[in-house]
Amino acid sequence: MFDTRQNIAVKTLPLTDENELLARVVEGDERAFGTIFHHYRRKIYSYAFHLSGDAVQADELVQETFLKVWLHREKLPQILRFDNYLFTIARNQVFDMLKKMAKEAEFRKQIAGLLDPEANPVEDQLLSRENELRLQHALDQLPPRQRLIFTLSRHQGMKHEEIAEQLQISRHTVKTHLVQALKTLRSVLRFPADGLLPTLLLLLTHHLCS
Amino acid sequence: MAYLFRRYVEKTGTPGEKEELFHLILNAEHDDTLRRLIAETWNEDHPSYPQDKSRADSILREILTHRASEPPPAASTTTRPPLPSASFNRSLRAILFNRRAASILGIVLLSSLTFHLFHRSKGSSIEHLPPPAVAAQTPPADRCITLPDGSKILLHKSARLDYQSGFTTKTREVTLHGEAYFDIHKDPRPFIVHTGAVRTIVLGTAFNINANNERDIVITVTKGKVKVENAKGEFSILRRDEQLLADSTHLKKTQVNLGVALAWKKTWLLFNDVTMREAMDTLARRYHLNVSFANPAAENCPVTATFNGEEPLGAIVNVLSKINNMDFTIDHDHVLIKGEGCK
Repeated sequence: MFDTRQNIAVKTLPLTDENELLARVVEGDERAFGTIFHHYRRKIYSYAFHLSGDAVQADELVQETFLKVWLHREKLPQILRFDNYLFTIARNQVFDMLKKMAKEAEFRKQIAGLLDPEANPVEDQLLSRENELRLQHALDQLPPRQRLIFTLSRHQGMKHEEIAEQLQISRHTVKTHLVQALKTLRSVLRFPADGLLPTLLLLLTHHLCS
Repeated sequence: MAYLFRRYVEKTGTPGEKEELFHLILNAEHDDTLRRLIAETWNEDHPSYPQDKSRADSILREILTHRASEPPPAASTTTRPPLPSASFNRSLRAILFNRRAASILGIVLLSSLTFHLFHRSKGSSIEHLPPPAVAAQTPPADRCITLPDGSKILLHKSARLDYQSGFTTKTREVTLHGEAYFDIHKDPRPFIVHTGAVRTIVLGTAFNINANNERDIVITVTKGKVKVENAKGEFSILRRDEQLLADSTHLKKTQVNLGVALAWKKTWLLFNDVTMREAMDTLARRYHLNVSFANPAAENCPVTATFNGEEPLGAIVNVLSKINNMDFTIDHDHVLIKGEGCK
């Protein structure tokens, strides 16, 4: 946890009637909580957005932070400085967010070669266990044939001709399947690429409704 | 690390430096340093970014709907899973937005099974149902039912869903026996599923509950967020790809492969207010088809329909087309959707 003593909020000062509002929050007063929420959310959002550059992540961080306050509101009477308490929670969330962003970046780096249609088939890459699972999960969403062709091409490094021969299909079909598989994986794994949004929507839809 | 973090916060770092920083962040050895750096920069001057007011309001609402009957134990913590990241939520939001943009449409049910279908009469009460209102209890085959609020429930085999005057102005409450998949219609009222001593409260939208054994209840989330609490007031929040085993003493959360965990409902096609394009793309994936539209505008026509997966492809495409006055041809694996479509 952070040492809260040396981090006094300079930008968002406590509300004048804060203690009274907090006493009402403890009793479950939603309006009082709303006042506190709107007063402090700006600073938290702004820092989170500054660090992530992502409005959705910043929104989530605000939500998680205040959710903790709300769910543990019975603790509030023991808190001396509410702003220190709140910002400590928020900074812990920022810490988690950076960890998550770092993990995401690592994952992307590890599988980028695998998903680039222009790149040569990659030798078996050393993925962390978590990333391996994640890739496996994405592969599970491919139709069986695409998954097979992807594995043969990317993991086992087989040439299109070799795959075509082994599966008794045309080279063109191999290529079509592979392109489709890469496209699907990129969108499942949320790799940015042009014109993939419809595919992304479709995949999610597929997941939810079929 | 301090140097790299500074550069990152001040937005002066190069992409390479960012990569290096993130690499260091991954290493738990630097956790304390990272916490210190966050604390140091917390009160410094940064550009200020305003949060969207309507987003803030809906966040506040979401927090307040967590209101439990009794306050949760102080020791409980909600850990954030690494997988369902924010960008997923963003995509989801994009979909929800699309859905909202699409207008309301007819419901088509095509199935040889007997359905107990409750017409979508939003907000209307169901008091005329005799208590306890048994929504569906039929021979063991999967059935899809639509609740008065527009939520779709896929009941597995002999599963049963009860709701005695469970839909009020404040909440939507049902009791499940057996296993079912829920696709909950967005509504300000929380949707609560009772199973044995466990309550599942829906904050987001889609999940599966297996309560075949009422002492070991398994909840699996495919979309949005779901909160589960037991009689002791312990709770857990689940997101996509997470599964919770709730027995009389524990709540145990794990990551799952949805395809495996929900294999039973795989054959079903539930189109709940999606665009024609999305529906056809789902079919294209399942049947390995190429789909094209003679009139691109028709792609955005909204459809709501349910298929049990046993219908011939032609019948499914026929229904989807007819909903919006479209026609179609199927030539080998190529489907062409014709006609002007909705307006």
